[in-house]
Amino acid sequence: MVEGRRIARNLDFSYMIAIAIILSIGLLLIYSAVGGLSGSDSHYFLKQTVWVSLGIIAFILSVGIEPALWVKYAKYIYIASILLLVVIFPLRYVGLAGSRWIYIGGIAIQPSEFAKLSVIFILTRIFTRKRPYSIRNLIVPTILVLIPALIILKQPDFGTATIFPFILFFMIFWAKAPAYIVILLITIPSSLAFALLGYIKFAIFVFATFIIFYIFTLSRVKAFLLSAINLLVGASTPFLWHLLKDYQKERLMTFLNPKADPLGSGYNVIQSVIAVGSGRIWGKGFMQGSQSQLRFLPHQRTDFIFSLLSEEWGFVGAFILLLLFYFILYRIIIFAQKTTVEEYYLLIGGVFAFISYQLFVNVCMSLGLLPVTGLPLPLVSYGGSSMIVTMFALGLPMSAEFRRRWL
Amino acid sequence: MDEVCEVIRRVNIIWLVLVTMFGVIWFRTFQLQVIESDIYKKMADDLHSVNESLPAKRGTIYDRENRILATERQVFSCYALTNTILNKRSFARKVSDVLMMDYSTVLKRVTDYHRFVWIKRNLTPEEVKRLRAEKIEGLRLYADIGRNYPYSETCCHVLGFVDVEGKSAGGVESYFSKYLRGFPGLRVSHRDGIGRVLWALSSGGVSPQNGCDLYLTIDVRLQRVCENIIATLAEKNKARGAVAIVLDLKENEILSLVSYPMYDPNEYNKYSQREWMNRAVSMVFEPGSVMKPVIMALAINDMRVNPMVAVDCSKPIITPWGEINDFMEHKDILTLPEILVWSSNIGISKLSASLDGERIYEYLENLNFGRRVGIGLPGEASGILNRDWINNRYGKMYVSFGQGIGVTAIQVVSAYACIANGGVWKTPRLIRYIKDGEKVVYEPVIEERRVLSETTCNYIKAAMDRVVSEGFAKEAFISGYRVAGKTGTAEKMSRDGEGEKYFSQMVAFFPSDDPAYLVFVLFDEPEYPFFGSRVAAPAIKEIITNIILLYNLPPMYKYLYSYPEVLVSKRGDIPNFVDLKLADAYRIALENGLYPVFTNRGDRVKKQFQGVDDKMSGVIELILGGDGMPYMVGLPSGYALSYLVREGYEYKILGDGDTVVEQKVDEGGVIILRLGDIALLKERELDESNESA
Repeated sequence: MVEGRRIARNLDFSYMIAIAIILSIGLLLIYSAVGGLSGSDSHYFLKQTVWVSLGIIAFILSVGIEPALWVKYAKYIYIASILLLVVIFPLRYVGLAGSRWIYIGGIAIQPSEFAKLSVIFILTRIFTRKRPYSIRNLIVPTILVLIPALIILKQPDFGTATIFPFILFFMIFWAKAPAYIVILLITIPSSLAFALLGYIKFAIFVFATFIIFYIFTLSRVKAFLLSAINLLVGASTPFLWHLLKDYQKERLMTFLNPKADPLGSGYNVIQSVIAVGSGRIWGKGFMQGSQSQLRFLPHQRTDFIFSLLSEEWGFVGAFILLLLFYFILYRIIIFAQKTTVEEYYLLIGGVFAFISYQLFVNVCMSLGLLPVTGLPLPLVSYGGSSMIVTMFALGLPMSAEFRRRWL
Repeated sequence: MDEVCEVIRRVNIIWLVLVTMFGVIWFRTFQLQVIESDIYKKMADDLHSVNESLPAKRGTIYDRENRILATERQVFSCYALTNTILNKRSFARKVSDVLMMDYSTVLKRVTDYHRFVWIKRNLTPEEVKRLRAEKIEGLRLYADIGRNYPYSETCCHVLGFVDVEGKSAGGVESYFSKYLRGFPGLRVSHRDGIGRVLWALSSGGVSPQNGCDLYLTIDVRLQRVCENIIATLAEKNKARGAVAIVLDLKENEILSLVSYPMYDPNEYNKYSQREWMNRAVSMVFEPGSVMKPVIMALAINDMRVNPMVAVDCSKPIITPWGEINDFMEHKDILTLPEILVWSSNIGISKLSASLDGERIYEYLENLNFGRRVGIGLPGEASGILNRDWINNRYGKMYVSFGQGIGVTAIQVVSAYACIANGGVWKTPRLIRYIKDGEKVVYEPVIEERRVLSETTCNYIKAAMDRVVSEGFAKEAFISGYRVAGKTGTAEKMSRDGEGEKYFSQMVAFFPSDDPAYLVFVLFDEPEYPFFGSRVAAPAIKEIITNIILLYNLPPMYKYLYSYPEVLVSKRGDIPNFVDLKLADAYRIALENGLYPVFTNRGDRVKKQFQGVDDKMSGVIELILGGDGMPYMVGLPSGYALSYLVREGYEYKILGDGDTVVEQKVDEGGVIILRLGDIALLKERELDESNESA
C-alpha cells in the first residue's frame, strides 16, 4: 500500500494525461476517418483500439523496467532489428512480407519502427563511452546509423530513412559535441545539395563554410581540413549521382523540388492544404469534413491525419493538439535536464529527436511546408508498430524521471 | 560545472528551435485556417460539387410518310482494359471470332502499351447480343447516345450529319440545329475523391429539354430510286458530280433531292468535302439551252412576239464576241416551238432582241435567279445574274440560251415549277413543319408571286412537249405518257484549260397538259457523249418511269405518238373574227385570252381556225383574205414586222418604238410603218376622235 502510494507520487501525471488526451483524440480521428463503425473500413478503428491498448502496455513496461537495461543490451537489440529489416527481402518471395511489413499471423509488423529505437539505444551506449568530441569518434556511430537507413531506403521508404541521420545528428549535438562538428554535420548535407546546384554556387558555399569554421576553431589548418571534407563530399556528389538509378534520381529531385511532380505527391499536398484551409477556425464538425469524408484527402488515417483534424476540428483543434505535443516535448526536455545519469540524458535526447522529428515532418507535410514523406504523426496515426514503439519511447524519459525521484 | 553549462546551452538552443518550429506551424495553420480560409473553403466546395450537363435528346427527322431518317439511338462500343486480360492471344482469338474482326488487328491493339483500347466502335445490335452471351473477360461494353441514320447514304445531303461532339454540319441538321438540338439540362451533384457521383447529395439543376422533330417532304422510296439511277449513270458517264431533284407540282413539295457523290452520315469522317458538298443547292452552273423556254415565255407573255410567227434562223448572228450559231442542221425558218425543238440559239437570240434588257433582268429576278431560293438547306448559292450583261444588246442574246448567267439546280427547278404551275412562282417546300410534341413550331414561309400569264405557260408547256415527242429529248419519251422537257448542254470553264468540259442537264415535267411532277437532272463533266440529250434525258426517263411505278400513275394515252383527242378549252366560247380588220382581230383575240396568228395576205379575216394542239395553248389561226393591205396600227412592232416578213410584204420602217403608230402605203405597194410609243398612239386616237366629233 505504502509502496503503491510511493510509486504514484513519483510518477509524472501531467505527462501521462497529455499522452492520454492525444491518444483519445487519435482514436476519435481514426473513427471519423474510417467513417464510423458502419463504414467499410471500420475494422481499422477496432484494430487501433487494440494498438492503443498494446501501446499503453508498452508504456507501462517501459516505465517499469530500468532504461539502463536497454542500453546495456543495445548491441543485441541493434543486431536483432537489423536482422528483422534484412529478413523482409527474402520473405517477400514467399509472400510473407510487403515492401515495409512482415506478416505474422495476420498482423503486419514494421521493422523500421523498431530500428529507430535500437539506433537510439546503440548511440546512447557509444556516446556514453566515446564522446563525439572528435571526428574520429563519429565514424563508427555513422556507419551503425547508415546501415539501417540504407536498408530502409532500399525498401523503399525515403521518409523513415531520413529520421536516422537526424537522430544521429541530434544526439551528437545533445552529447555536447564541439560546435565545429555540429556545423560540419549541418554543412555536409548542404554541400551535397549545393554540388547539385552548380560549380559557382558550390564554390561560394565552400568558401563561406571555411570562414565559419575558422571563426569556431581559430585554426587555419583545422578550418582548411574541415572545408576539405565538404569539398570532397561535394566533388563526389556527381559520382554518387551516377550510381543512382533513374527513378531514384527522380525521387531525390522531387524531394528537392516538389513542384516538379504536381500530379503525384503534389495532388496530395493540394488536397491536404485545401482540407486544412477549409476547416477554418472551428472546423466542419466531427465526421463532417467534406475533404476527408468524401475521400479527397489521401491517406487520411495515417500520413494526413493532421489535415483531417484541422478540417473537422478547425484551427482550435489543431492548436490544442499541437499544444499537447508541445507540452510533452517540454516535459521530455525537463526530464533530460533533471537527470543526473549521462546515459539517460542521451537516451532522452534520442527520444526527443525521434518524437519531434516525426511530429514536425508530418505536420509540415500536411500544411504543405515540406515535401510528402510517409512519416506518421506520433500517437495519432493508425499503425500498430508505430504506436507500440512511440509509446515505449515516451515511457523511457518518464522511466528515467521516475527513477530519479525514487532515489 | 562546465559540463552543466554546456547542457544548459544546448537545451536553450533546443528551446529556441522548438519554439520557432511551433511558431512556424501555428502561424501556418493560422494563415490557412483564418486568413486565407475563404479561398480554401471555395476550393473545397468546387471540388465536391460537379456541374454536369445533361444532354438533350436531339429531334428525330421524318420523311413525308413518317419514316425515320435520323434519330438518337444508344450506340454500343466495346473496349478492353489490357491489364485485366490474362491471356492476350486467347482473348484476341475469341474477340476476332465474335466480332468477325481480324485476329492480328485485335492482338496488336491489345498488346499495345495503352491500358485502354477501343476494340470496335458502333457495334450492331447482333454483335452486342453475341458479346453479352460470350462474356469475354477484359472486354467491356460502353453505351453512348449517338446519331443514327438508318438509311445510311440515302438523303445524306438533305440531312447532314452530327459529329461526335454533337455539332451538326450540312443539311437540315445544321440549318435547323437550333430546333433539333433542344436545350441541355444541368445537374449539380456532389462527388467524392475517387470520382464517384453521390446522387444522395444532388440538389438544384435544370432538366433537359428535348429537341423538336422535323418532317421533310422527301419520299425516301423515291429518293433511293433516284440516288441509284443517278449514281449508276454518273459512274457510267464518268461524271464528277450529278444532281437530281423531283418536285411534286401539285403540292409544291420536293420529293427527292440527290447530289452525287454521296456519303454515309453515320461515318461522315471517312469522306471529304467533295462528298459533303450539296451540289443541288451549292453548285452554280450555266443553264445552257435549258434557259430558252424561260426567255421565250417572257417574249410571249409580254406579247413582244407573235407566238405563231416563224423566225428566220438561217444566218448566224454576229456579235462582238463571235458568232451565235446553231449546232443542229434545221430548216431556215422555224416557228417558236421549233426553236425549242431544234434548240436554236439564233432563234431565241432574235426573240430576246425584241425584249428590253431591264425587263429580262426584272423577270429573271422574279423567277428568283440571282437570289437564294431558301428551301432550308445550308450553303445555298445565289447564282450570278449580271445586270450590265443582260442590259447589253448582245449580252441578253447570250443569256437567252443560258450563257453568262449562273444558276443553281434549285433555281432552275423553281423557275420551271412556275411555268408548269401556270405562271405562279412559289418557294419549293422541303420542310413540312417542325413539331415540338404536337405543337408546330416552324413552318417554311412560302413566297408566292405571279410572274407569267397562264396562257403563256400553256403555250410553253405545249412547245416543251414537242421537244420530248419530236425534238432533242426523244430519249425521255415514255409511251402512254406525255412528258415536256428541255435539254441543255453548257460549256464549263475548265479548271485546267485542258479539254472541253460540259454540264449536261435536262428539266422535264409530266403530264405535259396538267403537270404533276417536275424532274431536273444535271451531270457535271460527263464523258463524251456529253449532250444533255444523251446523258441527262435517259436519267429523266428512268426517274419518271420510277415515279409512274411508285405512285401507280395510269397511262393517259393509248397509242405511242397519239395526241389527246379532246382537250377542253379553258377560255370558253371563241368569238367570231371573220370580216374583222387585222388590228381589230388582234385586239379582240387578246381580250378573249387568245393568241391570234395571222396567215396569208389580205386586209380582212376570211376564216378562223383552232386546231386541237392550239386549243391547249390558246392559239387561234386567222386566215386573211381580200386585196387590201393589212392595217397594223396598234400592233406591237415585233409582231407586225414578223407578219410582214413571213408573208413577204415589202416594207419600210420609220422611227423607233414598240408599237406601230402610223401606216402608209406608197405608190409601189411598199408598206411604210412608223413606230413609236403606245402612249403616243393613244393621244393620236384621242385627237382623231375629237376631230371626227
